[in-house]
Amino acid sequence: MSSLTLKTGNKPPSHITGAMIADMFIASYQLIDKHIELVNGLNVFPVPDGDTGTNMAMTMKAVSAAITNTLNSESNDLDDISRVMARASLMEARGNSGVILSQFFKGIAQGVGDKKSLDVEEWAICMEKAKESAYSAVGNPTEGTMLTVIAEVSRQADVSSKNGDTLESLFNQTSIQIKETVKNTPQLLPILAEAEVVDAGAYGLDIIFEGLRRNLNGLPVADVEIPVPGMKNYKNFALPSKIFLTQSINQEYGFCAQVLISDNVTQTDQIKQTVSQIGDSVVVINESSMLKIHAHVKEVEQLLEYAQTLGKVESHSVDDMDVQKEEFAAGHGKSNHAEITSLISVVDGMGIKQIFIELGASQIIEGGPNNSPSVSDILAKIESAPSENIIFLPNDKNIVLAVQQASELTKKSVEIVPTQTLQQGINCALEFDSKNDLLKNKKHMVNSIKEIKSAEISTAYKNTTLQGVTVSAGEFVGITDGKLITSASTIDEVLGNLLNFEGHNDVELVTLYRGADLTIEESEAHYEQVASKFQNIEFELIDGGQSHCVYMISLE
Amino acid sequence: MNIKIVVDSISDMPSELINKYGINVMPLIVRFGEDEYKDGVELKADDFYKRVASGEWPATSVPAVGEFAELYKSLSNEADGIISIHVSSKLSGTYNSAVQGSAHVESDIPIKVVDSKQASMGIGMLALVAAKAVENGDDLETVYSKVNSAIPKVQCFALLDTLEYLQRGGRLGKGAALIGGLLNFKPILRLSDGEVHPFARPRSRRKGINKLVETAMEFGNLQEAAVMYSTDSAETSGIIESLNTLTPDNTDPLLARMGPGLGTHAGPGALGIALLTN
Repeated sequence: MSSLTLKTGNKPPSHITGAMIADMFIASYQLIDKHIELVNGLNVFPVPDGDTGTNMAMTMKAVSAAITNTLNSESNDLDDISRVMARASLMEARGNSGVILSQFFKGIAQGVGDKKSLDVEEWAICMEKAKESAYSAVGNPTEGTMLTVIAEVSRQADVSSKNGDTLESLFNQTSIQIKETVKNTPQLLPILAEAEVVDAGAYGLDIIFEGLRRNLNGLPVADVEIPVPGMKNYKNFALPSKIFLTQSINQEYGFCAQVLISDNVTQTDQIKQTVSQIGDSVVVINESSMLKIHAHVKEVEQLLEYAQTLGKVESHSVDDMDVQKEEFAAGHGKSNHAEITSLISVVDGMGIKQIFIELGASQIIEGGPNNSPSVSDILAKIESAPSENIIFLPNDKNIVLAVQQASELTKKSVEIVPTQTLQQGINCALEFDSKNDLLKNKKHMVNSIKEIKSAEISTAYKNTTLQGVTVSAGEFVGITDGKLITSASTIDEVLGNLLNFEGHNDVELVTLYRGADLTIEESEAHYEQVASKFQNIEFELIDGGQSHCVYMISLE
Repeated sequence: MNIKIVVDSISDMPSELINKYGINVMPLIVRFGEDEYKDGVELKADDFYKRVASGEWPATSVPAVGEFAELYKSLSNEADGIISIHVSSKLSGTYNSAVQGSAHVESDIPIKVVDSKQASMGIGMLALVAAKAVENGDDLETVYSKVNSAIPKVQCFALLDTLEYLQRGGRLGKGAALIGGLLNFKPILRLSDGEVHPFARPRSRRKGINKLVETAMEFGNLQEAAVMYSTDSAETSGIIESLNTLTPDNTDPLLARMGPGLGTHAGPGALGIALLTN
């Protein structure tokens, strides 16, 4: 029996027979099978694993195969067909979406009982049963999902039954209502709104009902694409962006910020990664040399600080999202962990600043050996930090006193981790965890001060003899832990001497932070040179951009 | 009493233990494109990591409800009770599939399905608790309650070579803070509350391994410990030597290979420890 029989008579069918329902669900399978990737791409709930489409299609495949088997061998009676559909979907149900589908088929089988055909009223009873069993199968029924769609299908069937609608009209109306429901899922399930998608399973059901409707109306299903309701740009919705969006689960709204930046050279992917640590719903667009960042952030300052490291900030806008935030929290029934401890660091150089932001610093103070921040600068940063507990990284012994004074002028609790170099500061910041309390953070961070050795290479500005080393103006000097170790006319030589002096057998990793006065080409040449000379050490070259020395070096 | 234990393939339990305690393993589905394999049955770890190394991207699917129903049904012929322990429900739909499967077994034998809130040998630790209780002759309720009270005592940490696999599979959760930017580091993750959380950001692999050992040491004496690896078993030796100072009678911790299912998310070059603390 094929759907063509439906078109032979002028009168549309008033009853669904076994042969018809068989054809209809086979068509549904064929349709959803072509939409697997589209459905997978939307999948963020309940587990963002991108397999809802696969699971629904596999479940429908089992249903379709079982129908075909039954038609070939036994019967095309409605009661037999609905029983095998229920059994096949149950046995092969994959994932949550498969389970809910199998309950849907169970409901149909219950509604059919031993009937050989269904009219609109009887179909409505099937859908009522399907709704009941679908809701009961899920431990914690969540709206904005397949369940909501099934409830809507049941409601529409009931309306059509009372209106005395035809079968065709019933299925056409049902598809229209499903699309509206799918469109509304983000309003019911905040995770979807945050990820800017509709529910994957709900869309899957839309496809399945499109299959039913199309078959009933004698319309083709091959080469048909069912658009995702409510998502105009669904074709461009790629999985990688979903990865960033799913990281935002359980995060909080705060402000919707947009920043426009010119002269950016950093790669879009890298910016996305960093911004998604500061906020969520991150969108980064790089177009005709302008960079646009959109993100939902709790604190705007951190985003702007970071944006400034990328280039020239042309404009920014900030919208308060408190209303959505309350709805979000209400929908979720739980509040989110706020930052317990904030990290403030003194930095020198764009790259160094970016590293501290990436490692979780919420406030940054520009400073350094010849550019100490004032007590009031420090106090202002402490007061604007998002939490009451502050870990402060001075990264220079000459700044500690000012921080101590500032900490006496605030009600906030400030713990100073006495780092004397930026290298130490970075190593400590690696241990920072905003969800830990102040003392736990301090303990972990203080322990890691001594884990690395700090060295630097600077330019000598005059002839002098220091700590027994004779230095001529224009030469490069190598310093470790504040002591002048070596001087030479080339950076290569100073670098080699420093590493030899340090007894490089214990050293595993050397990080070179390129200063602002060196070009990338120059520093890559130094890197090549030193890496080939000390082959048992791993070297890493980072664009630090500091002004106080040619190279900052950490040895560990 | 004849109580059967079921775990899923994400538990990475070594075959010696599976055989010793007669544990039943429900395989997840591992996919490379269109090709589907039963985790550990149709696809072994060596072949899996070889294909991953050659640039293929794996994915996993949960076992079908019907598969669970059938396994439980076949076990119910010989057992008086079943305890079925599964990967954290926040990471996979497997637990849910098992719960649904158990509801469709038309038999009187009780089936207890446990959300381990864990992965890999973190699940294995709980299966061992169950196995020892069964060996002890406990009834199903007692076994179930022993396993439940052991859940908060299980600790599981992993040092990954890259977060790429976890990210691709969408399991990163709050691990976002571990994504490297300018500075490279090797992420250490912790399973807590059933989710993957960032734990530490060591800058080198050696430091990462030391950090795993230090972390274990902070828990003091252990009831049981396991060391897991995905591709390099040699790296486990140092961890094993340190951990056996913490185990009863200083026995070596169990050594387990992260199978294709877990490896889909942990990737090559992963190391882990699972601890059953006191």
